[in-house]
Amino acid sequence: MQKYMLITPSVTYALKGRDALRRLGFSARVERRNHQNGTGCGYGIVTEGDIRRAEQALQSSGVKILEIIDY
Amino acid sequence: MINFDNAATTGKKPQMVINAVNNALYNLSANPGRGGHLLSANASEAVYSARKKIANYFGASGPDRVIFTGNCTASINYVLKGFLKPGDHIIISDLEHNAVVRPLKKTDADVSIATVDFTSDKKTVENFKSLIRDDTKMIFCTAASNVCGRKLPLDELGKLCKSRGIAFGVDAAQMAGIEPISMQKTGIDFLCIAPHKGLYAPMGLGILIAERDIGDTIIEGGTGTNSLSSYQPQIIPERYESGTLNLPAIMGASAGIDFVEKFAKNAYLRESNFIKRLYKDFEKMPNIELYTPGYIENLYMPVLSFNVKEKASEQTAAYLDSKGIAVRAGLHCAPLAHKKLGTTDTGTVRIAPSYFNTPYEIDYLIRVLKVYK
Repeated sequence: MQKYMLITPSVTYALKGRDALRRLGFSARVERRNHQNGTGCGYGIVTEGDIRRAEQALQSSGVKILEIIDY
Repeated sequence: MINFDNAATTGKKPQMVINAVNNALYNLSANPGRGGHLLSANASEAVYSARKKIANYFGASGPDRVIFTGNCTASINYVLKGFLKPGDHIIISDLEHNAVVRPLKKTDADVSIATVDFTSDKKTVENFKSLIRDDTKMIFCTAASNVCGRKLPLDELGKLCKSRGIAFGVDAAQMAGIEPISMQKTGIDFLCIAPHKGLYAPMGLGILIAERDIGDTIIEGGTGTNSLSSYQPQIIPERYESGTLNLPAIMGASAGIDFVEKFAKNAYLRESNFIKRLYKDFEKMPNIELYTPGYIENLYMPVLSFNVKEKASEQTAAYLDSKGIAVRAGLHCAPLAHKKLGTTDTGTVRIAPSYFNTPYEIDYLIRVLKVYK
């Protein structure tokens, strides 16, 4: 199954988002993202499955997603 | 030593708190929200769990609203200096600590001071209400005086602020952990907490729970994210948490909540009974001077100010110290409250029990004061 990393603005939001996804049955874990030109350090949630549903769930939990990248 | 100086910091910490701090130092000594390795991830997880517990305990809307600071004074500074601009109108009470008064002086805000009535919450709310103007931006008050224990009617003031579209901030240094506070139920926008007091945590940690935008920052620096930007991130809590967090103290605060919920839920009643007992005896002692009209449950927190007639407050404190009793004398960093009590020139001796004091210690305090001349 395709895995994704949902980039969050902070580690707190990554952990909050991970909990929200797990409550819905997604597998989710927090990882530090690879260094990116233009932003620098950051954290993301690694998950798999229906990425649109995951994104919506995070939005309704108040977790801002900066970017979704293939993992 | 018998410690009745618990309004400054709780003198005895529960073993649960000590164990949690030890565990943090042994097993969580990595920087949370910085690295990607397992130790840092565990530290981040532990801090996040503490945020969840704190948000839940204080009825906040979520863990991301919980900001860790250096102490309660820092929390108050973040709110007042971030939220207010020069000339903004704010109403405070006449019982505020210098933690509120001094930052406000620096902001150049337009400050009105509402009188707290010693026996009527209704009158207190009316006094605040009468000072509200069209341009009032905030009411900020102590949850309870650190000098005399008088509580502010937070529920009523929260309703008043909501009905007038005014922000509501509370300095809960003397209440958090001893009496339940629910931010959402009461309508508190900013709650400033001293976890080393009623939550029995180590010193060196403050908590600020912000349910609305604070505004500007007063400290900027590394947050572990978006590092290429020279500007402070907008997202909270990290926006207000530059630099390394005091993880051992955060773990201590988390364990402190567990302690209070498991063992000290009745702390208010237990400590109130100590103060009621003191009032009862002090009122019969001709050498004791009291400044508040008895202990009215629900209107006061368990704090009592008194003096021994013809003795400076520091003299009485030194005498008690020689008898193995720790109390705080002087102005308690709250000159507004002493002006109200008429004790600016003398200060007062303050008794503030904790969960760990016993009735026998109260008996001993009364005995040694009876023979003090």
